[in-house]
Amino acid sequence: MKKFILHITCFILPLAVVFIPMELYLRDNSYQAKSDYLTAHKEEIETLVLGPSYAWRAINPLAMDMPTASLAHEASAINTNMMLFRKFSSQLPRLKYVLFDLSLGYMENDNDQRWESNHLFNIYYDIQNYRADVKNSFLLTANFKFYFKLFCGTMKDDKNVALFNESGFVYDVADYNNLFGTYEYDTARLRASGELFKRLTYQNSIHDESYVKNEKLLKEMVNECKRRDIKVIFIAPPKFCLNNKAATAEIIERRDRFLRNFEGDEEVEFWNYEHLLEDNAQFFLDNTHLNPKGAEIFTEVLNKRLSGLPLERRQAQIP
Amino acid sequence: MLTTSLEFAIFLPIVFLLYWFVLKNKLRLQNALILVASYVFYGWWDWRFLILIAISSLVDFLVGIGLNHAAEKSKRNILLGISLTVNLGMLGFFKYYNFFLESFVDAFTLFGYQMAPGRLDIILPVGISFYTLQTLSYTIDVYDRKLTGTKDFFAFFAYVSFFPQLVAGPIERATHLLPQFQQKRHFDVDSASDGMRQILWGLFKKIVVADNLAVYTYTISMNYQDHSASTLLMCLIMFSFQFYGDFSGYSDIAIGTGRLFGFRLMKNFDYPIFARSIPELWQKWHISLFSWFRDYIIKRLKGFRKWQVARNILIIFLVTGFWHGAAWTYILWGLLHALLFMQFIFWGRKKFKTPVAAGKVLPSWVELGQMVKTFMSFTLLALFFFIQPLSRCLGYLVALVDTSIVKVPLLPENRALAGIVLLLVVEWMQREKEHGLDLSGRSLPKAVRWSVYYGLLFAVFYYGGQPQDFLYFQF
Repeated sequence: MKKFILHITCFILPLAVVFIPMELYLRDNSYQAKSDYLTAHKEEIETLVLGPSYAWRAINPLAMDMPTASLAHEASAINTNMMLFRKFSSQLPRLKYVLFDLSLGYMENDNDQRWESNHLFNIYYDIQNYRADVKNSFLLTANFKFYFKLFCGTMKDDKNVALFNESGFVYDVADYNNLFGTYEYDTARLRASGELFKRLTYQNSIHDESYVKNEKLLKEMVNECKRRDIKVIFIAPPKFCLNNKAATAEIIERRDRFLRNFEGDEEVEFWNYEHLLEDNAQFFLDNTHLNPKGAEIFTEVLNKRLSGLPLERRQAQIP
Repeated sequence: MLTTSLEFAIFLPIVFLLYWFVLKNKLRLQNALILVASYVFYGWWDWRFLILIAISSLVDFLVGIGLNHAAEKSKRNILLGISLTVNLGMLGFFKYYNFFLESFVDAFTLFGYQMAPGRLDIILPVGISFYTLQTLSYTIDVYDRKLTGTKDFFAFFAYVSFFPQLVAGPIERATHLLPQFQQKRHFDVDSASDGMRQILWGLFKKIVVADNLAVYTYTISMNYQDHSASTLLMCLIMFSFQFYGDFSGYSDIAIGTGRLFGFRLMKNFDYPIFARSIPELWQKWHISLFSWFRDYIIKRLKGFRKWQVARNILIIFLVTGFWHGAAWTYILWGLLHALLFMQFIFWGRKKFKTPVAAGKVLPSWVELGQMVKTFMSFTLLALFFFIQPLSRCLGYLVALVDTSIVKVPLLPENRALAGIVLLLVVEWMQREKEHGLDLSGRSLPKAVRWSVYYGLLFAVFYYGGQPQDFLYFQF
């Protein structure tokens, strides 16, 4: 028996020596930063940003005058953002604005239990999305291939490491995320590579079932915000011109149809910046994401507009 | 709890350590631990399932004791009848109620009567088909006086619910497994180490081969109208590998886990992908089920004339098909296998007494032809197993008969194909051994062995597909 246990221990020990430090290294990521930042500034946060990675990469919370936190995240959908809203909004006593990214096509999405980031919600936000699963408690067991590659990539070259500030905003992107940068912002080269046209159809996909579900979720969020005197501002961060031109009339109409529900409602606004910067490739990572330079401009625009809102609202809940 | 999950990877060492360290030499307590562990394992899916397995175990435990005291044939028949009624009744209700209801309604509709009875929203308890046969084997063996009804509550309940093989077999005979619960078990380091190797090989087959293929076969089969006949054929071939990797992988994990606790479970697969004929394939595929039906049904029917054997074969395959699922496709699958099998009865069959290419590195051309022919027969019939319902199955069959069969087929991902190649190579080399990583009789340096283990473990994590339930959980 002892021999057997010894063999098993000897077999497992090298694995532990390699994988435990790897797990610890990988855990220091933007999700950790966002979670820590929110926890540390719970009492001050007045603006909460929710939505997909478009908003995450477009808004630097630290550059906002108003205390802001962003929980916008990659590969997200409205239902996963609603989980965050439900969990955290009640913990933010000064919350006055929810900036919710409603880029085209976002209402047509839904994350089911196969969602690749289940484990991140579990680890960083203590939100057990779907059926409890032990493997979702660790990055490496949740998606070994992805994190192993990520680790090897970051060990190989510093340029593969994304740098983020304390709020989780990425101010120095990893090489593999910087598509436009790779082609030196030369749209002719990008066109020739075919990369420009990837994912163009993504925003135009129609899914009635998800749309209805999301419409209901967003209305629930608006009602909850109204009850707590929080203003909801739907936003659409800048997109590259090619993306904007590819948007179909139907997908635009579907979003407009939802927004018409709030016509004349002073508690809900829609700020559309899709066309801002659209012809300047140097401000984009790819068709749909701003790079840190573009984010700096957009954050400033947003900051000014948000600061320009009536002061009474901003002070209404300050005890 | 899936045996491929991290939960199980935590659960297993805890039970193992308690079993061998805390409860060492305490047989009853070890059995009690296995019982508790098995119920935790099974209740992980849905605690309500525990009620059924507890009822089934209790009834057969009492029937067994009753049979010890019943000398008269009539009393013995009544006791056996109680066991059969309760066990098959529960199985019938949970597994077949809706099937019979729908078939009944369809039959009436055919004659112009319209009926609309309500379907029941019944969840099929995982593994019910497996443990029902296992517990019935006990009652029948006691009835046949091959066994004495046990009074050891923990041993019997642990036998019925033994977690390594509870949900998908091997289906054990009471005469084989129950005595192992009644005698003191000793830890054997070689057997446990070999068990660990068998688990690793099972994980590889399930996670790298079957799970990777599952995405491909599911996607193609759901949209079969959009694909060429060659892709549909490729999909069926891949399904056969998926089916084999999934089920034999589970069996390897089960047998390996059993060995960690000092149990010897029966072999369930004997390299059926290298079978040279359909009869040989059925001696190597899901051995525990086929032999169960042989021992408890066919032996009672008797008869050695050709037509009697053919009748028995027909019965065994129809029952096998129906056991798999409450659908006409499974029955058709069983029927077609029976017909394939019968040709060997009426036109004679060569009995293969030695493993294929015994003592040689490669098979002869004749053997290769036989293996390919058998595998393709199995593959084509797997269509009825794979696609539901019957209308879609027939649609798929029609789509297979098309000139697009000459087109280049769509293939699964490279890692799935690489997994199949590795599986074939390793299992071919090991075809005379107990399992793919059985190293008995081979003296490999430790460094080589450990490199293989680390390599397979890495493949499981790095190249593993999207986790899927075991195919046989639905049965």
